[in-house]
Amino acid sequence: MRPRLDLIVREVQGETVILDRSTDQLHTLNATASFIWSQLDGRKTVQDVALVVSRMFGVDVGVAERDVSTLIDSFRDQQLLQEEDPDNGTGEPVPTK
Amino acid sequence: MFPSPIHLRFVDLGIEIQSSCPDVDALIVANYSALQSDEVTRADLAYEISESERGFIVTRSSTRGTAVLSARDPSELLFILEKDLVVECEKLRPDLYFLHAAALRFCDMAFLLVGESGGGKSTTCWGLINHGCDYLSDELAPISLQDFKIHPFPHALCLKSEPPPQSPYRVPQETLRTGPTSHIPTETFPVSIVRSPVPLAVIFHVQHLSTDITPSVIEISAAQSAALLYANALNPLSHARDGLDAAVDIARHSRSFQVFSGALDLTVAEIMSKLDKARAL
Repeated sequence: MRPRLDLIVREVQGETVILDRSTDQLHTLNATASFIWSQLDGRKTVQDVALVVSRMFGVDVGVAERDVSTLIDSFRDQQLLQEEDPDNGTGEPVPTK
Repeated sequence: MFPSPIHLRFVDLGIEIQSSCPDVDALIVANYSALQSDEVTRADLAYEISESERGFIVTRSSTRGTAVLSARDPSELLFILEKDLVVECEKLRPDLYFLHAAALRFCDMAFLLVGESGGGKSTTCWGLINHGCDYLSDELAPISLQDFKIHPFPHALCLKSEPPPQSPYRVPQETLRTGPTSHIPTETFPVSIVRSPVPLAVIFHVQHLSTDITPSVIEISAAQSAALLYANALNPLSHARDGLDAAVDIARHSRSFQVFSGALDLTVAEIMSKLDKARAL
């Protein structure tokens, strides 16, 4: 999972502003969401990101995984993530609806 | 004999308006007297207004070409004239970031009231004028991205609804009414009309909820402010990365607050309190 390449993204004092021209929507992420966003590099799984969040913020891994998963679902609902092919080796299944 | 042309100056552009009708001239002068200038030697934009069977015909000339517009009545004439003038100035000054916002000056710093139409900007602006804030504009704030100075656009303040006659914020007798809009001439203001760019220091994002609530003014982050600024930008695509960087830079340069406005006097008091603290820093 990784952000769409056509988004215009700007970090502002630890938070993030994302402009999606395809929908004319503007999104703002607080510091925690910005950190999780920054971890979406196309290689890390949800569990990988949760582990980093757990260590960075000192929270239980299970709680981190739940929160990270919820946030990533939100990113998908907002169409901010790139569609992944099933065989590109990311380890992430193509989301089905 | 036709009235003489009216010359205006806005964002260092010369604008000439010639009409064949003295009543139209009087209406334009009443709205734009604070923008009039004797120093216009070249018209970057020129308008000719004539009466027709169905109202008014407006012909616009600029270096970019000509266009013809029409209006049914004086209210629509003012509306289309100003809308066209602003759009053409945006094209002639693409270096400026035009915001749909009111702008005022407190001590030596400019502050913005940003919000959607009908959200209370102009009413709050009028309230702040009556508490000593100098006037730059009630709805248009072009910002220089080099020095973050706001260029004034001090046309007559336009209200969609007037405070009641017994209110301390009642409008002066000289107020003009065209259709649903009231235009308060700048000559009647109890404060100075700003004619030169002023450095921006504070941004208030205004949302009117109800006159019955206690207003609140809450500081917000630069990211939140940038998003709200972008939503009120008029020419974002004239700037790099679709104008997002400019909105962020403006927000980072200033302190920003979200205002949930209520009764006008209480809202003004809250805003003035924040301005006093900002000035002290």
